[in-house]
Amino acid sequence: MKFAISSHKRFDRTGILENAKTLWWIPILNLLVMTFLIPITNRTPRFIENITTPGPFDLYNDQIAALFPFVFVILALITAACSFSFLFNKRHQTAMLITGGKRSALFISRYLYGLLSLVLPIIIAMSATVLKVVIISKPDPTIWSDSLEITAAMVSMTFAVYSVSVLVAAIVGRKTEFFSFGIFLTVSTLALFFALNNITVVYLSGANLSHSPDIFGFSINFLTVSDFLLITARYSLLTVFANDFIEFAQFGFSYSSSNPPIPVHSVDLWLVLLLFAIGIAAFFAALFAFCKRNAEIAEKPNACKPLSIAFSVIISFALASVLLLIETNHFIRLLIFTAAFFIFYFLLYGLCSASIYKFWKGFKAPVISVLVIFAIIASMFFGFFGFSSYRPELNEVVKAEVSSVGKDSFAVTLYTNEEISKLLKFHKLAAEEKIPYIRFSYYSNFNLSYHVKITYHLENGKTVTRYYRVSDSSLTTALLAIERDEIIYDTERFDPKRPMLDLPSKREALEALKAGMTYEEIVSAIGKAQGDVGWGTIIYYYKLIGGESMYLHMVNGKLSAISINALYMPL
Amino acid sequence: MIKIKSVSKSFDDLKVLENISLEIADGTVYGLIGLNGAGKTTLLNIISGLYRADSGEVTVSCGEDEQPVFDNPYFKQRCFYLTDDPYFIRHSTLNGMKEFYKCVYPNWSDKAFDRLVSLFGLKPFTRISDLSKGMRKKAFLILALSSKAEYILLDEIFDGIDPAARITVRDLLNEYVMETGFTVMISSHDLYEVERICDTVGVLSGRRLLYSDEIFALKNSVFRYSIGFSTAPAENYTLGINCKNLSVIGNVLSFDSNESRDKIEKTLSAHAEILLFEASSLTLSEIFKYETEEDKNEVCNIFS
Repeated sequence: MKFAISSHKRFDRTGILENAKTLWWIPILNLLVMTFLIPITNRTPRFIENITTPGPFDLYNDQIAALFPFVFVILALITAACSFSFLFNKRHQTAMLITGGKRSALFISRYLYGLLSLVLPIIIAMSATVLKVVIISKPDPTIWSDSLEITAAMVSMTFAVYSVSVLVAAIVGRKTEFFSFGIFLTVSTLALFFALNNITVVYLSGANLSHSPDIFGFSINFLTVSDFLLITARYSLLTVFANDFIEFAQFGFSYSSSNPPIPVHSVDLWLVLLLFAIGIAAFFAALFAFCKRNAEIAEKPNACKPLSIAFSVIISFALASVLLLIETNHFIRLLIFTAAFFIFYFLLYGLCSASIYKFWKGFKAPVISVLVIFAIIASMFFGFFGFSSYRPELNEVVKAEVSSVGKDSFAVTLYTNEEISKLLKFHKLAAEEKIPYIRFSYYSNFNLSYHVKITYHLENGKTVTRYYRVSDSSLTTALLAIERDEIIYDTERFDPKRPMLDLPSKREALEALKAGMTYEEIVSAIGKAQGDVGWGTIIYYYKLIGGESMYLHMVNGKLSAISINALYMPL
Repeated sequence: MIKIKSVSKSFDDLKVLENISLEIADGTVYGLIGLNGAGKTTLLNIISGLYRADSGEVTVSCGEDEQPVFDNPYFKQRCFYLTDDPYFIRHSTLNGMKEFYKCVYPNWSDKAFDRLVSLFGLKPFTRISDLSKGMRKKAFLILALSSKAEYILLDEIFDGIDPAARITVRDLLNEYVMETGFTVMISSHDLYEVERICDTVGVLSGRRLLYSDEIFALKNSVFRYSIGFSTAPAENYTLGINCKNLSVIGNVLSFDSNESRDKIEKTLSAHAEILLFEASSLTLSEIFKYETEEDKNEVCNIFS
């Protein structure tokens, strides 16, 4: 008896045949898109020496290049959806699963067809571009490494997104869920970050933040949806190479005329490896899920309940957190947030389950989620576990560091017991303060929030680090207390619209100041500081009546220099 | 031979099949009958290797060995499962689908394909999407029989096929089994056709397999009795006899029963003198109704 397909074959002929007949357009589409994206024509004249006249398609700029990653994501999702479209149609799935070889062979055939449809166009378009540049001009020798790096970045990203998309396809039953979850997985971390950030800002200001205030390059302030989109565009796992792509679109393979030329791109190879690792892990997970897949889930809503629940909870959470801006009262906010969360969850999970009955059955998940979230918020807000308010004993501390991220950032290291005890007092104040979020309109005019990081180095070698968000006024007064051994905690004095130092001119200020003056002598010389006095290791900051900024540079507590605006004058 | 051992299957909270065990011998035409929702299609899906049973297993003979059917390429090359609404590649023609299935089935016969196309009067280059439901059924039956698969599973094959073509289908399936010695399994509501084509039958009801045996044996298991008495009989004469569809007309008592003739005669003769004792065979349809207790849902006085 002859065998059309033997059981040991790795590839499924049925799958390949069906793919070739129905999905022939996928590689062609991908090639067309890549040919447009990767400059192959003379639309990027800057790539070629001595050609300065823009070509008819000289459209590239940062904005268009910034779309590169999104195009990769969309193409990967579409390719995965098409290659595994049979999983979303009972008739089609039946035909595929009961004919041909083993499921694993079918999966690998389909997977490779999709992957090659994505990767080959990238390689072809990039090779053609390099070839053209090499033939027409005398390119910099960095062209080879540059093109390889950019290609590696594009391929790794495509591979990761495609593999994750295939994994989603293997566990869901409907195309709508596939696209929802596929996009969700690309942004879920950020959605969660977005929501947690907003909750933290609103409810936990003054309490500890578990992450760095400058995470993602954004200080932790309340994020609007547009902020979130911006973060997603810049920092999603899937857009990690955005800057490289923008540089590539701007400068091609090299823009340097120096000798030797400097490579333009510096793709982080660790990120490339990370994305390949994610892609490989997703591939094996998808293979496993595909082989174990129950055929009856095709076309079935909510086939993967955990994913539906995670999707609904996180997205509802993120959307509801936006509404925290509406009200200033904590409890009313909480009510609004809760109501909004459940409404969003109702809509999203209802869409996933496509049945009110099933929705109600699955309602315990969001209830538990909300309870857990509230428990965490409450425990942090009220300091149940003492984590946020914990301060080491003075005699345990060898040295301490205090730094701030914000408009006027500073960093100082304290060594003496006197200094550290002052910091401990400030710490106590900051931990107890729990300053509510400054109202949005106010905040938008004045960047008044500071994120303070306090680190204690203890005798036993351990370090204790806490983050606090404090208002400008309390920071100022409390930090001054460190310097002057007294706590001034009078927020009434604070008025950012008012000039900070009652001096008529910079000349008078300069005349009044001499090198080596202490803080008290400075205050005595130029009058009592009336408000916004910043503080740093070596800098005092004053705002003069004329609107100019004056900085006093201190070394070892003594006045050493003055700078007004950009003019620096050593004393 | 296909062996189904203690197979159960549920969809979420809905139990569809419970502890089903049966054997389908090679060279037979097996008919699977049951009410709507009895689990016929689900059982076919499990036998074809499409669904995985929650418990139990389905195996197919492979020489001396038995192999599970699930995700088994050996079985996939030997089994053609024609679903109620089969898939075809978009815009494909009958010829296009032939090329597809030729790659799948090692015993594919172009000769049989051409003859069958001619027999059913179909045009090989007509798009399948342009065919009517009945024509599409015929097209896929052509593909199924041309595959020369050892096991052909047909779900509701007679659905949508005109009476003349039904006879052709019946004859074709009989010839296929007789000529090749291969096995055909049919799930259908059309008991008339099943009775004429199948040599073995299985009755699914209430998630369980009520009966699975040769159709001859099934037909000999239940009879309609008409008993004439010297006086007008009462219905309680049948107490102690497992019977259904009981009726009394004049001095004649009629009912269906699977009890032995001797037991019935002995029980009834205790009440009155029996003048006439007649036992006649039931149709498969009547036996099915008897077995599945369909008479509980009698239609009467619904619209009055």
